[in-house]
Amino acid sequence: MGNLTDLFPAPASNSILETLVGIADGRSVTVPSGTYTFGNVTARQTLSTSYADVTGSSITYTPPAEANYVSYKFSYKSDSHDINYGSSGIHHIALYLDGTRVARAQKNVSGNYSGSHSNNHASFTQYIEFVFDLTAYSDDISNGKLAGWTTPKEIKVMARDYSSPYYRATIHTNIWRGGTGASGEFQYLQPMIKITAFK
Amino acid sequence: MNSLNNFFPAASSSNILEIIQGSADGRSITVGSGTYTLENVTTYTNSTTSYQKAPGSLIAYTPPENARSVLYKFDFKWHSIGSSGISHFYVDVDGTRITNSNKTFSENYSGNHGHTHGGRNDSMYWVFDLTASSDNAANGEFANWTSSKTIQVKFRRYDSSYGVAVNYNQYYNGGGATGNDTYTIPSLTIIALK
Repeated sequence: MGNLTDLFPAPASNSILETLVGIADGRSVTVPSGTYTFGNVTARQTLSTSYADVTGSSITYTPPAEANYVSYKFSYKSDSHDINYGSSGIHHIALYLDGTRVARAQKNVSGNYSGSHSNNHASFTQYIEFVFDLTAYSDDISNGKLAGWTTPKEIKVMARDYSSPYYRATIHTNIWRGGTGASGEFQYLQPMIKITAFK
Repeated sequence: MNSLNNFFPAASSSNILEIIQGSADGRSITVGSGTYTLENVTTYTNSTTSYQKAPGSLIAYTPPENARSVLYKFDFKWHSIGSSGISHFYVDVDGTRITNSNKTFSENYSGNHGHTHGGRNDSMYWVFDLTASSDNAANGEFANWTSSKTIQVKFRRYDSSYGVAVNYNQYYNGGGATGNDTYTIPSLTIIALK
């Protein structure tokens, strides 16, 4: 015999419908709204002066039917490029939903300039995050507002360098490890995606 | 007729009572304890040598009655507007500074006050303890939080040479940021736990 609570479940006690979180190592994660496969990052990524997809950031997601808000957070490692002129590693990151840029989420990230373009020690974890509002009367994706979200939509991050050859960045990168330059598998690390659907 | 689950409630599967999370664009969010409207950030804010509110950080919140702790977290972008960008931040509740929430953020100093490239995300947070025997706002402890309290982050620059702007992009699209590209909106999260 099943539990009474299986037949008469208590009302949900909080506003989270589901959390989908994973490292971009090719894993598949199943949550109530479906099974999602993350990208598989196996190398660092250098940027250019044109926007390109950030590896490991793409996921095609359909929230649960009663979701009112969807939070997307992509956490990654940012470094000044370890080449001459890497300098402060200025780069720009932008969030896209189904091919439309969410304007208010965009950021520029950089370390401080040392006075020499050859000094490129800036190294830290960064993220881009936005909470999509699904309670709007009509879709306004550039402002992160939708009138519901019932079909799969791709969320991804794009990035570019500020300029070339100066101020370049590299992401998913460890330049140093154990008192010397990183080598082998330690030269890259895989980013993380966290999606939370709220009612 | 009452539901059976009023008499036979399911065992609690989580100690989370409610979560408010949103980008600070003026939206209203309804949770169990009420409807909350986030601030609407439409520009960046320079620091001065006096403390001021970090826009997007303010919320007037009343937790559910059985809450035992409340997490407040403000995620934002800052960028230097002076040298290494040394700046000071704290969490304020109803006009009282939470002493141990104090943080100083900065980048490496280059030897030249004109180098202001440092810019990144950071967070301010506090977990309020609602199980205290008496109120001690400076420690973020409350015995009886049953009405609205205003929580916000305040910040200032170190001095006239070192400072930041919050919610600020100094550069974008390969040049100095202009227009709407000069700001990015922060996120605010409240989690009430039993």
